[in-house]
Amino acid sequence: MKVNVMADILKANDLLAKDIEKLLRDKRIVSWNLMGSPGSGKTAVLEKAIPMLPEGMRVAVIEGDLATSNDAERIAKTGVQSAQINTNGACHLDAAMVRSALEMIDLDGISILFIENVGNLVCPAGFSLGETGRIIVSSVTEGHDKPEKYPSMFSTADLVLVNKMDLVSSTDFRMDYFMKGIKRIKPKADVIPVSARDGSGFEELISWIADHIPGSP
Amino acid sequence: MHELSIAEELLQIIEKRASEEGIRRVERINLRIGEYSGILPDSLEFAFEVLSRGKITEGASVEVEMISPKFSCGKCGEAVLSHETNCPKCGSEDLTLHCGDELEIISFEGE
Repeated sequence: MKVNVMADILKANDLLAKDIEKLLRDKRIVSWNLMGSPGSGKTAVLEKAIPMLPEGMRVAVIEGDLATSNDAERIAKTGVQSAQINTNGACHLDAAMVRSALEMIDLDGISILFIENVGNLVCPAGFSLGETGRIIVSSVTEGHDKPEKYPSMFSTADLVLVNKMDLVSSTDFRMDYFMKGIKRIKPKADVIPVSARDGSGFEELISWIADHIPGSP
Repeated sequence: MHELSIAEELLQIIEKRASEEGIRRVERINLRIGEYSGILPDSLEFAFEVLSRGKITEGASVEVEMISPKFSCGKCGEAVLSHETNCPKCGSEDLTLHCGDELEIISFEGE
């Protein structure tokens, strides 16, 4: 006997993600799933960007890591609410983890939620967290072939930040090669070169974030 | 990397549907996996085989249909393969991924 199932194996995650999406939409919160390799500078980008956001754009951050609350503590120093998820070995955040973390945050008055995923260019791509969109932080020290090597991740990006531009002259990184990879995998993604260390590119990043607030021109 | 947790979800889906249908022994499972899903079929099959010990799916064969990523052109609707940067029909760069990230159970067979 044959039983037709036709089900998404990650349906349980997708259903939870839909709940989160609705909760955030009802509260008019834009949420960004921030992904990238370990050490690409995801937390550093947030530390730099948060104080530059215009007043009235209130931010909260969920930090995902295998262990430690180091990143949530770094974010807390910028003066915004942060909640740490420890996945205890799991290689990605899932919707259930994000839902529990949201219970630790007072969402009233928040307009932007950043969810910093576990540093990993593979697994987080497959798990919706109910986010509005995805930002990938790549860095020049990782090399220019990351988009074509990790197409499943880059194919889901709305924005790609190329971080550590202050170090570019010490590397063999080629921006034209990187851009060719993005164009092939996700031509619609925006790309902004930045340096979380010297702040270059951050004005453009702040404009990008502001342009993606609902109701913005 | 997380094939074991996917295998657990898969087993739960099958056990639930099998009990609804009165199936006590599953012989074959048909899956569809996209190349962009981040899932390695061999690892998934291995994890599933280990989890299946003593369960209704013990010894079942797992058949996987791999799905290549394809884009669709936002301008003319043409299906475009992943190695192309422009639509071969109209030249547009407005391409959106429309398949290749599947992770689905299509059906299973048993008695």
